[in-house]
Amino acid sequence: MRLLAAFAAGAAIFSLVSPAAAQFTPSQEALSNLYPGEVYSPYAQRRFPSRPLWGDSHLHTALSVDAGLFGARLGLEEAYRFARGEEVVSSTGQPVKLSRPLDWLVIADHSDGMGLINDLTASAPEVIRFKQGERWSQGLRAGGQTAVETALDLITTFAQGKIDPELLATYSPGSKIYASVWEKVVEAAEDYNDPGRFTALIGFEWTSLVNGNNLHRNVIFRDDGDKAGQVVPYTTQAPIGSTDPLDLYKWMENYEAKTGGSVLALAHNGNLSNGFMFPVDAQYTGRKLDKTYVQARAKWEPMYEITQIKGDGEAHPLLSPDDAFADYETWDAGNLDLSEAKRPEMLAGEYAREALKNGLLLEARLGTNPYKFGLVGSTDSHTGLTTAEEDNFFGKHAGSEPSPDRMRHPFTKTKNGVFEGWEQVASGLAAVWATENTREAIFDAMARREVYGTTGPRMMVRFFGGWNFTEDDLNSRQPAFRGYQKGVPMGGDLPGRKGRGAPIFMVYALRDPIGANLDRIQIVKGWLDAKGKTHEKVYNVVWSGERQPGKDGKLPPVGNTVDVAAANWTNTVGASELGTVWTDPDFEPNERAFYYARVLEIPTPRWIVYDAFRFGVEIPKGAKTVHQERAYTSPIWYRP
Amino acid sequence: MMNRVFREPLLHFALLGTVIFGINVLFSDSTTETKPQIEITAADIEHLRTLWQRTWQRPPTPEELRGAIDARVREEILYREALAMGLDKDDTVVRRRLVQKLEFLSEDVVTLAEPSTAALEHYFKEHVERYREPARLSFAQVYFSTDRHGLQAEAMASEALLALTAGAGSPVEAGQGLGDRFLLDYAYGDESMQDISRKFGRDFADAIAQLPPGQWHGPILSGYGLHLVYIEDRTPGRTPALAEVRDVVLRDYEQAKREEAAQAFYDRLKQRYRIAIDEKALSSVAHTGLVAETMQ
Repeated sequence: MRLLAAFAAGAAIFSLVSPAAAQFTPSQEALSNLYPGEVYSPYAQRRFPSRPLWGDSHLHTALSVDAGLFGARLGLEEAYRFARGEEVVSSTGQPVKLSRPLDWLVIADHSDGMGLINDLTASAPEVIRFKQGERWSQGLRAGGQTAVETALDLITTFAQGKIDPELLATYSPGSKIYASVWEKVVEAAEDYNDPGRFTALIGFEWTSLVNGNNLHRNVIFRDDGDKAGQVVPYTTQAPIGSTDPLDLYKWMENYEAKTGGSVLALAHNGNLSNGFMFPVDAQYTGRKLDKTYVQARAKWEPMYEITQIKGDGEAHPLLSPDDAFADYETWDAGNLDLSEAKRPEMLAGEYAREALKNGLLLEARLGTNPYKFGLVGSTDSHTGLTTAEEDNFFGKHAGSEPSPDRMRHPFTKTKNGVFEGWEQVASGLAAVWATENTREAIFDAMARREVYGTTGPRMMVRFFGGWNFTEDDLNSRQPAFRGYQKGVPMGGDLPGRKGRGAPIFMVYALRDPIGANLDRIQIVKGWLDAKGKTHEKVYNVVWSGERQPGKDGKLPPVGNTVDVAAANWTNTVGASELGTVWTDPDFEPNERAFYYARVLEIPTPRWIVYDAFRFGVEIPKGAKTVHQERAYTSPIWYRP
Repeated sequence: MMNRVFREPLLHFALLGTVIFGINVLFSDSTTETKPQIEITAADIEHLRTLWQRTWQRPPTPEELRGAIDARVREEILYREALAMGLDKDDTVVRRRLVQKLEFLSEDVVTLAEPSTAALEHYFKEHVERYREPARLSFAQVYFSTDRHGLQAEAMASEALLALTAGAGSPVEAGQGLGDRFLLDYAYGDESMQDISRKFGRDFADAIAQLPPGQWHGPILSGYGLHLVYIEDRTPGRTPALAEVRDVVLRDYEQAKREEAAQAFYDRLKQRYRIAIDEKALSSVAHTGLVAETMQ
């Protein structure tokens, strides 16, 4: 009964918030329905998300041209099974299993080189004509082992070129037997989608690469196969495809118009775009930023993938010199294929924090903030295995699955620079505050940005913004009730300012039940001053233990319990949960601003430490062995 | 006599023909007859139109279609030249792509056969563990933070347990408000053991799995600290009937069949070949411990 009520309530929420991919601002009515406060039981009719759903929004299988060609052998089925918690055998023959299942997954294989897409025709799916071949059709109809034998016979005959020409015609492009890769993708997603238990969202990767500069976006569908199957994924090969995101947005627009469905785009690896991911003046094509661009980008890209195997993209030490934690898994040697080295002036167009700041600037200039995105993590793994845990990391592609020397092989190396093998990041995951585990609920949560990303661990993080939170709210039995009632969750816009105070934020985090303690929670603020200049500041808002900030305002480190030789650490420092209510001490009511929370764990070993321990090999010189994993919440925005 | 030959019409015609032929040879491009042809047929055009339509939800304009055809012609020419130069040989990318296409082919054909009820039942029985529904618990928990209280936490928990056990009134209500603030819920209804595991940690879930309902227990250790736990209700795990999970079983069955067929197909093909591996070279590599990998 409770479930039914929750479901009905969830449906009510969906109908209030538009499912189309417009900019999401939950209406006041939607928010006020969240806790009617009319029933005694706090658990009945609860209409807000009560637990984060963990998933990977970016996984590749052997179907991706580059994955399969590097030796990946796992297909869609194995990838889904693995994500659901089953043990599978990796491409290099090693058994592997996740510590815990995921709640949802997006397999986003590259649309280019889905190859057999070119083999579609307009006609309705035709009955497979080889059934007319008497011998074969009988054999197949017999079923069971006979059918298998017949099928094999058919294929080998075909291979030897001995088929009747008329039957051969059925193998030409367009025949059902050459089922397109996209059809397979959709079918597999339908097969493994299990509403309430595991969600398989349909998706693909649009692999825009311009002179080696990464402009990739994943496209995620809210819809089932009946809609997604009506179209062909957009590619980057001219004349039908394009590398310009504006064209991708057109494709998405057409999809929604034709099918009535919903899609969104999710970009990643700005750190490998050599400055082109977050333009401020003009795109890589030379086209100047205008209202069309900012409005389209804002509409179609509600999130950004901030952390993954190819580097963490939150902040760069040169852009954020006052942030002691900015230099985390930084990949800044050059672009994706290292065909061009990095120059410092490129950085401003690459990192999420800078983009969030520039978004405020562009909003002031052009009326819409194109970089008003929520934050998620994912792996971009090309092994079919979504592994983001340090002690269970299976690398970016089949060639970097566990082996004694995988740390040593350079990941990419050219005369312009190198990305070392040990620099691969065992990252990340996406947590979605969805009201239930279904495609629609997860997509809607993404569209309203009620999401956060982590570098692998599964901390639970809540972040609310408002004008009148108090310690009482935090200490109440259900702080989330107060959070939704009195303010907005992560990804939202602060409600209109009525009094004269500064915004107050309620943030709390619980560590991963099998993971490391927490060191501290920070709030990162970015704002646009009256002169049109952007600024940022990182505040430590709550931390473990009895530490006090020094005279310079810096907090002493939490301590390091990592034993590299034993590949171990202990939770004797840090705290298992942290929470606080924090008021912005530097608030200026006329300045646009955003705030997001960054939660840091205590130091733990990187994956190479486990490799060294398990294989008994040396750690490469200069390789980083210890790090502090983190979660990034979606921002909350303030508009004067 | 010669005069008559020169005046013969046949000769005139022959000479005229030769002249005309000669002119033709002079003015024609001598290679037109020997050039290979790139043909864009009606079917090709239809195919390009359709591809456009499926991508852009509208037919191409004449210019766009022209552009697509030009691209197709360009592709065909470069493709043929590449083949002529043997660029498809010794290319890992090309090789793996062709293998992938062959594998797709065999997959597609095999999934045509619909399994018999008996086959499906047999498969279900053999893998029944996969389809079991987990046990579910409705419970309440009171949390004592070991972070905050250190060694005191256990004493505090035990004291609270005594109070709860001795107290009157609703046990669940009595527990509310006790212990430390905690970010997970106080009470859970019908939560699967797997979800409990994910939230509190495996050890906690295992510890409470068999606790008798109707009384407070503890202190029990979780990933976060100590808890007192009250089990309201337990639904044991159950094995569903095949009819309830038929879709999922069918999916898994087909997947298994696909793998079998792929292997059988490969075995059939392999029988046609003799395989010769340079054993000397292999043994010389054996010491470096790479053997296991090469034998995959």
